[in-house]
Amino acid sequence: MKKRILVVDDEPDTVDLVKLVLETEGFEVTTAYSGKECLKQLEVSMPDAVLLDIMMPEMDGWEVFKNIRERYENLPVAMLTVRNQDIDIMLGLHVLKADDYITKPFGRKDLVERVKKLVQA
Amino acid sequence: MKSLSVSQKLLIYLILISLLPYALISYVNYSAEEKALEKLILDDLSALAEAKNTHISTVIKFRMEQANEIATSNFMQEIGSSNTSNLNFNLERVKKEIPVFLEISAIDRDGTVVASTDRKLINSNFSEKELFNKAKEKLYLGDLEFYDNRTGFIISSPVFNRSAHEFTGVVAFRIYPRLIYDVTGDYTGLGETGESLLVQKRGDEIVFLNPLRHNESAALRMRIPINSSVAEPAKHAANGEKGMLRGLDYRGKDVFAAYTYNPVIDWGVVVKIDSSEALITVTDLKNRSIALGIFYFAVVSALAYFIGRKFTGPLVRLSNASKKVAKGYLTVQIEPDSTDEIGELAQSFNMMVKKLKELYEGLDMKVKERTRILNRKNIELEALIKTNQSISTGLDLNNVLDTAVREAVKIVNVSYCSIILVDEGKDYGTVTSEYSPLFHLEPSLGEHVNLKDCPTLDEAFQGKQYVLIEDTAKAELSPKEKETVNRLNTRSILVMPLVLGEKNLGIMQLSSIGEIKNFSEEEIKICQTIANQVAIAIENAHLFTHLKRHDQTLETLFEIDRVVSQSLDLDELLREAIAKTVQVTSSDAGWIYLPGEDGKTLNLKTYIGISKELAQHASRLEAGRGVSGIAVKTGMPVTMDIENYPDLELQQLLEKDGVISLAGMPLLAKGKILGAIIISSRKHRVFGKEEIDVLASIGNQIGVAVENARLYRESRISYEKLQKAYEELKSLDRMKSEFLSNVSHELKTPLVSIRGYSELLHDEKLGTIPPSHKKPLEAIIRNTERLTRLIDSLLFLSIQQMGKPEIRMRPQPQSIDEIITSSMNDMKVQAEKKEITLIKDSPSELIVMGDRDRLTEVLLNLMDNAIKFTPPGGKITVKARDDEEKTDTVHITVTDTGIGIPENVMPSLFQRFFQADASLTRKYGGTGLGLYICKNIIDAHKGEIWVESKIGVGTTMHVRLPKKT
Repeated sequence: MKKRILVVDDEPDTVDLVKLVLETEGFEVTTAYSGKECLKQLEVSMPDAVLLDIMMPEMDGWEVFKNIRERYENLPVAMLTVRNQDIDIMLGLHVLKADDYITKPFGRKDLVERVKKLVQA
Repeated sequence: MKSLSVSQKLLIYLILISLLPYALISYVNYSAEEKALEKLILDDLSALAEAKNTHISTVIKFRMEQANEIATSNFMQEIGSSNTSNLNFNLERVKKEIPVFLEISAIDRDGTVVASTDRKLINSNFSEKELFNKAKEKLYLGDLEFYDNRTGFIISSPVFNRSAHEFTGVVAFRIYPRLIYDVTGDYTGLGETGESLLVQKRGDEIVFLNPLRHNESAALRMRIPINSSVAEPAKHAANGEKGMLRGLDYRGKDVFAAYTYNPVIDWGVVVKIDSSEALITVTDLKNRSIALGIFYFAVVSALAYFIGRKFTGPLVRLSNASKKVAKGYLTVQIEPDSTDEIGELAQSFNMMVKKLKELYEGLDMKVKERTRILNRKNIELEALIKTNQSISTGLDLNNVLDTAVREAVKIVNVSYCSIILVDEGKDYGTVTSEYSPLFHLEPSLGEHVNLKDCPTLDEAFQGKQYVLIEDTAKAELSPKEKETVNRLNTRSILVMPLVLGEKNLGIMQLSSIGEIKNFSEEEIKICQTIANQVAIAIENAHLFTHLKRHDQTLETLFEIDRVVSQSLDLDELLREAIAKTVQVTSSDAGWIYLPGEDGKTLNLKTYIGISKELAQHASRLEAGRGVSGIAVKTGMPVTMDIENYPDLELQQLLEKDGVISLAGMPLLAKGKILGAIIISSRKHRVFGKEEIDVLASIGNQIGVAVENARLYRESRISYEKLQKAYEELKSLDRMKSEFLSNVSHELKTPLVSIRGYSELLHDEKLGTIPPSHKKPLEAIIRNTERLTRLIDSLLFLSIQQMGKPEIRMRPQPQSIDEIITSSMNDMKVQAEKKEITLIKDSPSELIVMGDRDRLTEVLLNLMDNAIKFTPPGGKITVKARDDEEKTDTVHITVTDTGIGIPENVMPSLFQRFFQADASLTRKYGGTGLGLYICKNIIDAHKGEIWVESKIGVGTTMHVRLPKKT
């Protein structure tokens, strides 16, 4: 059975790219363009993992992440963001404890590998 | 010896002198006798021992011959035959004939007993016994052993067949050594204690073989270890020695002994006698000598005693008399009973005692006189001490003076005493203290005494010398003095000046009323002492008063200081300052003026004790008006009374308020005049110098406080300004930071798509592409990565520049080889393009502590630079090694064969936006940020980065990183 990934980003081009990359590797991809939409979708159906942007209008990625952790404790979530400063990475991985922290622009192979790891765990 | 009397000593010396030679001679005589006797005894014993030994040898030989005879007798031939009944009979017969044979046995050639006087032994096998084996060829003599509780020794002899001359057996005899015991038991010549011993060494023991005089059952039963400390002669004898000695025998007794050895039977022979018995003759000699000595001693003692008495008698009498004199009996005399030296001594003694008695009587008189004087002195001294104590401890002048006059009256024994103090420069004095035990005085205390009227007092005061009037009736007196003298019936007067150093303080007057008093020299001296003390006390009291006043002033200043320095608010400060100043200076009103901003006016800032009307009218003064104006203008304290007030208008207003006297002080701080403080009084008041000084200090204090308050206000204002500016800056900083963050986000977002799609195309995930498209796509991907890095670097730098706290790396163990490999892969295309060879030289096991992404960035930057500045065909080597200089670091080098770096630019190499030559930027591209970023990253790793370069040869970049710990 195909693993399903939910990609959340306010940038449609990025969403399309990630969707394309993952689909060529055999994943099923659903998309959301804001934090609210993401949470709404999660109420309907549960993906195997979430790729979550940080810098989004209204509700930013950290807030979405906290919400997800409160409600769906075991759902793997990786941050997918251009923010690559150490303080952000530390915050994501060690303070909020996201499952992974992928920086954009990403290498295609790197992304695929890390998503595979994410759904396996 | 010292405690002995002369006669005792004499006695002892005499005894010593006479008895010592006697004792010595007797001793020498005695020891010579003893030596001679000893030699005699030992010689005798030696002869005796030899005789006994010979005797014993003879006995043994005799027994051996007997044994041989029996062995060769006819009946012994039977030993080889089968019938031995005759043999048994014959053996019994022999035994009966010679009773010392305890047992006789015949043994055949095989060792079997064929006949014996002891039936039990027949048929026993003796083949292994010494008495058989050793007797096969010749006579055998055995040791002394027990047999049937008796001692006996064995002699065995071979028996030969007479015809064939062959050995047919042995005949063995056990013999009781009766003859030997006879020899040893013969005590002839051995006195009461002497005896003979036969001894033999057996193993570690000496065995005694014969019954002894002192121990009948000693034979074979008494044994003594060979290392025993007693039985010396026995040990020597048993060891085969021959000689004589004096030593301890087996009983531990001192004996004379001679010993010898008998080799035939291996026995030692000892003959000995107790030394006590042997020496009995010399002992008698000794006893006689001692008895004679005792008698001699008695005679000499008696003699010595009498001689002693004769000589020492007179000496003892002298000695006893001396003892009496020493005890104080000065009447002792001795009758000289001879005309010799001792008689003369007695006469001299009598003379001496007489002289001593005279001296003593004179001395006694003197002592009595001295004691009387001392007693009086003592009384006076006590009084003086008392006066002194009260005077020097008291600080209340009146008390002190009262004590002084009372004590003076008592000590000098007068009927009146008074003290008159004269103020400096005045010609009159004041009666400050007086006392008389005689009658109730009309109190003259506080009365002024004009010195001009009393020349007697004046003379003492001016001359600083005491004046004595012995009898007032005979003295010339002024009318005033006469009047006083008559009134009180004063007869004698002593006037003492009170002087301290150069200062005249007053006079002390002592008078005798009703009778003439002769003031003795001593009394005058005492009075002088008292006067001196009184003078000191007066000075002390003055000093104390002065000190007290000074203290109060200080307290005032302190109080004002405390009040004004607590407040930094100017208005409150001034209010408190004026209130406190008015209070501590005991004024009725006070006010403070500070100059206006234009400097031309003085503004009334605060006031107390004046009417509102006055305050309103005087709220603003032109500079220079009024007391405040003068104080501000001159910078000096001003005092004046209202009638002298310089401003008519203000004068009227002040008068209306009842102001009579005023004082104004400038407020001074750091030499600046900051205003004036005025105090006023409704009574006429003269401000003394001290008071003005205090007021000036108050002015200074308030001045400083005002200045502080002003400074505080100013600094407060600038602080608030700064705070505001800081807040603005902070918000600007936040904005900048957010802006940068957004910019990088906006810049990077398009790159996501560019890179992502290019990779999809390149990796043919969207369908096959012509091979010629691959390279362009790679270039796109590479340059996207480069642009991303550049944006990150810019962001990193901006943050650093803003002085944000340095971002901490996340150091983790990293394989440096992996980092080098991946960086090289990234740079491969770029290097290939310039035909530059990349060489990696790093062992895979080196692990450093660091941040992978940042370290990759450093390596990419260094390699990028190296490629940039190396001409085509060059070589770049990246090498990693354990550091040779340090143990806990890894050393990485990037070496190129490039153009090299000029020496003059080396120091600024790691600065921001630096490139060796601006033209290079155009030629080689780049931002000049690379090395600066590298240095920042390496510093954050607590590593080191430096460079080595040679123009035209190449450059090596060195990096040192901490190893995994």
